[in-house]
Amino acid sequence: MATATLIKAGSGASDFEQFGATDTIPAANLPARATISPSQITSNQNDYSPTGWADADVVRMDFDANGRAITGFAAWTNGGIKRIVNISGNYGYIPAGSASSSAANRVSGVCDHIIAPYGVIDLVCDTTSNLIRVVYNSFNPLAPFFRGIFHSVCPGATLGGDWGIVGFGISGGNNGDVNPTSTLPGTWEINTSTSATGAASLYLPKGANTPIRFGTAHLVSITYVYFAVLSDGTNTYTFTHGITASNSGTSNTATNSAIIRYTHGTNSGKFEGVCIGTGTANVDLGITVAANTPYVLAVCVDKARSEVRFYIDGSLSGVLTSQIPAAVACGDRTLINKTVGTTSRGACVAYKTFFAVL
Amino acid sequence: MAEAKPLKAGSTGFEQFLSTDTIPATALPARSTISPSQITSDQDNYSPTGWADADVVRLDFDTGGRAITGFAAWTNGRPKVLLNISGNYGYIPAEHPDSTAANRAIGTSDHIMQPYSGIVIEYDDTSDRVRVVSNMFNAAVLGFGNLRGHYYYVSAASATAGDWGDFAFNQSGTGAALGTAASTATQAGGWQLSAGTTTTGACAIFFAKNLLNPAFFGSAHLIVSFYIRIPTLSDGTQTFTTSVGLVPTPSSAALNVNNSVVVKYSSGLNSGKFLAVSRDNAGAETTADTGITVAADTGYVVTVCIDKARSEARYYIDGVFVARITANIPASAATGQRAVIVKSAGTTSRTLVVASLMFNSIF
Repeated sequence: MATATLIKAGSGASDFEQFGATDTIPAANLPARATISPSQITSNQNDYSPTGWADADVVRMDFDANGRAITGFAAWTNGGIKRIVNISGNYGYIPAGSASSSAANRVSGVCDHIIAPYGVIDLVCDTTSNLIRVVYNSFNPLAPFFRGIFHSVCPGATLGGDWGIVGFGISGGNNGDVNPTSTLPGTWEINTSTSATGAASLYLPKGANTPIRFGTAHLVSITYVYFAVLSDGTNTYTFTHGITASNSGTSNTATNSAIIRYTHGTNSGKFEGVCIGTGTANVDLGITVAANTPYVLAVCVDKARSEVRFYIDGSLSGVLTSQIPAAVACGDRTLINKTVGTTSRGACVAYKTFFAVL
Repeated sequence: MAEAKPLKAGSTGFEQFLSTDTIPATALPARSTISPSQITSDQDNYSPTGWADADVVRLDFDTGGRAITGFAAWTNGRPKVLLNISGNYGYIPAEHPDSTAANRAIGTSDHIMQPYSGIVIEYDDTSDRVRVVSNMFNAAVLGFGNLRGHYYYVSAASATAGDWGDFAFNQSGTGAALGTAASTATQAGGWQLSAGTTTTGACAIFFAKNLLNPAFFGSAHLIVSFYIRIPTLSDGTQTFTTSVGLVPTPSSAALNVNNSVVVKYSSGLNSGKFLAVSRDNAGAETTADTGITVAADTGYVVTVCIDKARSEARYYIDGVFVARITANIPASAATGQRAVIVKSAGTTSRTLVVASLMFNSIF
């Protein structure tokens, strides 16, 4: 690249002059923004690159009603911001870090970027990191128009009767609040109490506790959690968080679940992604759990029930495509179950979020 | 500035561009991207190498919760995309005095820069300020709009304690109670905190029920906000004080609490203007005049921010920066959010009306 000065007509009949420092090109002579309108998206798209993509400034996207993914976009080199406009009344989504697209075409993010009906997303191609970043997303489940379900709670009362949206499951376990420290947030605690088989849970929502079906909507469940004391051979517990058909129950092996699991004796004490359908599928999420360290755990299930993605601290840590839950009603749950020992162990939960997009 | 038509090759020589001729997009300069060094301290008048003409700025924050208090003004008229490429938050405090006035950002309090997300800013050379055009951060959407933290928000509704899981209240003295205040032709309805009919009555509302203190000062960036009005002002006969802000163990209705950052109002305090207060672990206070004289039955949005480093408390009223305090900041101690009215003279009940309140921590 080299900078060259433009030429304009000079004061004489055939004189030329270089553009001066204060000369500007008329706006009409600048190129208009390039807009493209690709064909309707009727299947998941990898390395998305419709005709005209490379130089498009505005991309008018049309999604069908099936909740389609764009797992990545062909990288572009003009440095421009691309504005994705969803012209349809249906949502789409961009799963952050999806391995279905080439590494340089993947999108950064903490879980799934929902492209809201009639919404807008702005993208930048970061050629230093070799990935695509979302600069702006109009999706907001708290906005007046939201076709879906959204629940989010932070710790407070420990009596079920005080809450309208969060439920407490207890079977030999208990719950309480844990004060913040100089480094850790204040939380609820779900604990095993002194029972060798104690269990306790927090689930969303209370009442209509399984408000949506797998396969009806795009589902996301997130929690912010830490463990004061890890599981060990003397006091052994299993922690699970995610989406399950049995969220008011306290079994951590319930059929039709998509969850993140931790216990010391499985997967070398690392978080594990688990799907329980007619059988069980597992994926190592690669993060060894440490005591008194908060983690953001997210589980995403697409409408097509084609895959479950597991995010830890805003990074895609694993994907499962088998043993996906059946099309049954489900809700969100965070659960601890004791199997050995009578000293109470707990999971400290700073927030829970569960939403479904239809 | 003057418009000049560039020349192009014509059939018989050079010709001026016609109104329908456009320069090829490939002949335009590419967007300029810069990747400044990691931000490990607060930045004033931020201007890394290449800033003036940068279109995309890749920011990398450490875990300290750093501020960019302003940006060197730029003149090319283009927006700048600020990408937070790190897993840590940063923030842009609106109208921060540590940057030159013309470099400050406009806003109603702090613009949080969420991990792995973006903010778009433009320079408004009419107002001589930086404006945030868009921000991916959404405090209320925990998990993806606000990756790590708390968000409590409620607008006035039930005054029955058992109806709530996170909101709570307390009162002391005969007749002190939480009720509801009807909307008026110009004001929103709200909870009515009545100080009752004793000379020392008090009523408080707070986050969070049972837990009391969601976070430590120094563990996270903390922002609280209240939408309040005072139907009848304090005077020498019926004297009361209101206090809204961050207070340890907010279930207490005591007016002055060590390790707190609040905005107070009373007739005999700061000439009836809102007073910003920071009180440390030993009870020593630093105050700042907000300059806002309280009017009866007038709604105010009062916002208090304190950074993770506990270097300063900032105060905003109706979305305008009004004060900053850097001394007698609370110690590293647990805190919650509270609005309280405390009577000190007279036996006629006086009230504080709170239409909504919000607590946000960002870890």
